[in-house]
Amino acid sequence: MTDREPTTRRGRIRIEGFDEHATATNTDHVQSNRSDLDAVSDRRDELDRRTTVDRLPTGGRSTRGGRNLDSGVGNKTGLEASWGRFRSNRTALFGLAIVAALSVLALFARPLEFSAMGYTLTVQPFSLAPYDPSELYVGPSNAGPSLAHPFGTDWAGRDLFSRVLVGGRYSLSIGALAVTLALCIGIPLGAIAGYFGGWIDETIMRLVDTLYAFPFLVLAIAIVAILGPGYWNLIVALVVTGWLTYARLLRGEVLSIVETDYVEASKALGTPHRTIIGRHVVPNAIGPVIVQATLNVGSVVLAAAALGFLGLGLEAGTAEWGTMLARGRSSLLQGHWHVTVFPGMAIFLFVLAINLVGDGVTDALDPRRETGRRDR
Amino acid sequence: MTDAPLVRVEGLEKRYTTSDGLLERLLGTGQTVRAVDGVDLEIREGETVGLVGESGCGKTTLARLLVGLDEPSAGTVAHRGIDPSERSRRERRRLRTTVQYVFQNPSTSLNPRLPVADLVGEPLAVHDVVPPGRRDERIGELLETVGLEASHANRYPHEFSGGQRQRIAIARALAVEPELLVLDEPVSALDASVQARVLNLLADLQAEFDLSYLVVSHDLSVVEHVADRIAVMYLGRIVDCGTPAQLFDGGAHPYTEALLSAIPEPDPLWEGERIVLEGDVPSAIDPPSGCRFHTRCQKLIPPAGYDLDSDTTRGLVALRADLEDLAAGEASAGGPLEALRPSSAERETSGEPAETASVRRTYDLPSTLSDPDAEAELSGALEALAAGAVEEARSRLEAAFETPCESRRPELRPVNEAGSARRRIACHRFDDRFERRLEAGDDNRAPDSNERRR
Ligand code: SF4
Repeated sequence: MTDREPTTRRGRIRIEGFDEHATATNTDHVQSNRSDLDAVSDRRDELDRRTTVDRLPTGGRSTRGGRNLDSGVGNKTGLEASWGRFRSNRTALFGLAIVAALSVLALFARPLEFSAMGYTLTVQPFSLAPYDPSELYVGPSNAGPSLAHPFGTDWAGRDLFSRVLVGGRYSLSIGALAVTLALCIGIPLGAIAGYFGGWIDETIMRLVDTLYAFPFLVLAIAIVAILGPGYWNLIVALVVTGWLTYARLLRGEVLSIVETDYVEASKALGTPHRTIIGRHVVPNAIGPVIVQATLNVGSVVLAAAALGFLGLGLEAGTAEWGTMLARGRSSLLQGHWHVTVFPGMAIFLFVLAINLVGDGVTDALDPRRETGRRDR
Repeated sequence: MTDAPLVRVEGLEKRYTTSDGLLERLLGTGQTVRAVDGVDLEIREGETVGLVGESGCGKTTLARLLVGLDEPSAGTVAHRGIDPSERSRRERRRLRTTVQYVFQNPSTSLNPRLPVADLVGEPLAVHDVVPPGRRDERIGELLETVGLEASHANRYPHEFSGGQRQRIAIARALAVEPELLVLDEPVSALDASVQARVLNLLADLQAEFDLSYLVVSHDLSVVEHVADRIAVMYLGRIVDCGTPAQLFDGGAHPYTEALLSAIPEPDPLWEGERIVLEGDVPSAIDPPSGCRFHTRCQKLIPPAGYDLDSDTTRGLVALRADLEDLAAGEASAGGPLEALRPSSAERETSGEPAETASVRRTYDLPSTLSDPDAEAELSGALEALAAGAVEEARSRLEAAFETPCESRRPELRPVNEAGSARRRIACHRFDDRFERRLEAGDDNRAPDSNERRR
């Protein structure tokens, strides 16, 4: 209102460029009537765009995008880079080779057969183990290693070499199954707790805290003691104690992911929570959980062995590494070292290999670690 | 055009409680932050509204409330006269598609693990905008609409430049065919060279799809170029609202004037005054009483009954506010209050007059106020202060120099200017009734004392 000084008025000098006639033109060429500044910006953005296009291999038009909301496609680039880092890590590859070798040995130790309704289906006919692991007195009892029995025999004259090979089946499958099932419980609960927060979070995490209050092995012992020994009971005990770590770890990660703009952006689009969790939250938060799970395969195998050693694992006489160790205790006192050494070595080798793989996965999923190591 | 505006916001409030622990929640000891505190706003079809304010003024919260990312504590957001909170869940979701949000930083608002096709396809699938068979085609169309190529669909966000990423984010928002786009600092994360192009794209899209925009920004100069109407926010309230021309042509809210004066002008003959606002935005936990801007306002209305200028009033208000802190024991050492406690040595040599003089100097008060009555009140208060009676000095100042800015909350009301029916300002200076009351020498004590602090 007060125009005493014409010079305090703004807008005497105008910079053109935001006006209709300039914006109405196509993005592809620079209009001559724009000012220099705008022309420069135009060219730069154009350049930007072209270099991006050039740099990329011009693949075919997208055919899969947006088809299925729940498909896991999409993290290709991240996974490829991670796999590249993993491949260049020799110790991790070495560990992976040991795990693979042990798995193959366990799988081909004895033929695999399924019997149902009178029919017997042989899935795997090979038999690397020279003897049936539960056959008694294939040799003298407590005989030391020899050509016929490379690992010797136990108190009942069973062939230890066969038993260690077949025992891998129990240990490895327990490790894999218990960790997988624990992930199946821990990931959804952790994601839900972290994503929704509030009383849902409160409930789940108080449950986790309560179970965490017991020492891991004590809780597992208590569960086995209630359920009784057996393969599946052992797995239940290991799952009940195992999912806590994953839930807690994932919740922590989810808490930070939920704050990110892209989760907010999806909420703003009206995407249902289920889809947001499955598509945006979990894939970005899962890294540390994967690492932890890999490392945990080793400790689950150890725990299974420990339970077996305490007589709480599988039934006595089963060719499981921990159970074999337990039975070998008395033989050890009598001076028969080989009865415990070979199952013990098997456990050691497997856990070591798993840890090497786990370390490799850690580095592979976290590029910063690698560079940090290089800087040192 | 229908009568009901596209979006009408009425009495919108959003309060947060700053309690984090379980114990605090149980005891209810958390403090309440009034992020948005009673906002009315209308956005019409095809209109661009700019929402401007310093960071922490609640503009982002307001934007989030509009999109439905947060639930308001009070008030309504109505779409074409329909209040979604009265509708079923399904209908709410459908209404939600009419307002879309574009985030400030495109490198964080796009999930880095998903290719562009999945990102743009997500809203299409969620709201079933096009049948699954045609989705790829539509994704390509959308990308072309925002100036990208359909073949970009299977690339990942990190393979694009910042400007291109913002285009992807815009394509995503456009996928559900919205009527209003809320743009939160849409270009401030981008290179200056790309900003203009993205703004141009937005202008093109507006013309093509008859979109409305709400441009949220801290920078009045960005909004000035794109907005049909600008709303200026301060501490959770809209204090000024009008077209850019109205805002720039003088007669604006003192806060708007300060923001305007900060915009550089390329005219060498321009002699506009640069108003520097002192201090930060006050905390929204315990906002100032009356007009929330009064702690920083350059144009305070002088107390009734005295003949004082704005600067003197400012000094008096600041002095009283500091005394209040001092009385409450919240004063920080080394602040302006240092003047109130001179060293004992100084006191011995120069005596009391020097002390009161130093207070006057600190608060830019002349050694003798122009109005004799006011001078009598001030020196009385300063003497009490020198004697150590902080509380007495404070209450004397409060009783004598109460400005309406401090005691009454100004409403956002239309200003009667020729041809500006929708110009609204929340400042007592623009309140005719209030001015008249002042002239009549009425007692200007606040009738609504609940607005007062503490
Ligand atoms: S009401 Fe008073 S303090 Fe508030 S802006 Fe107007 S003049 Fe300034």
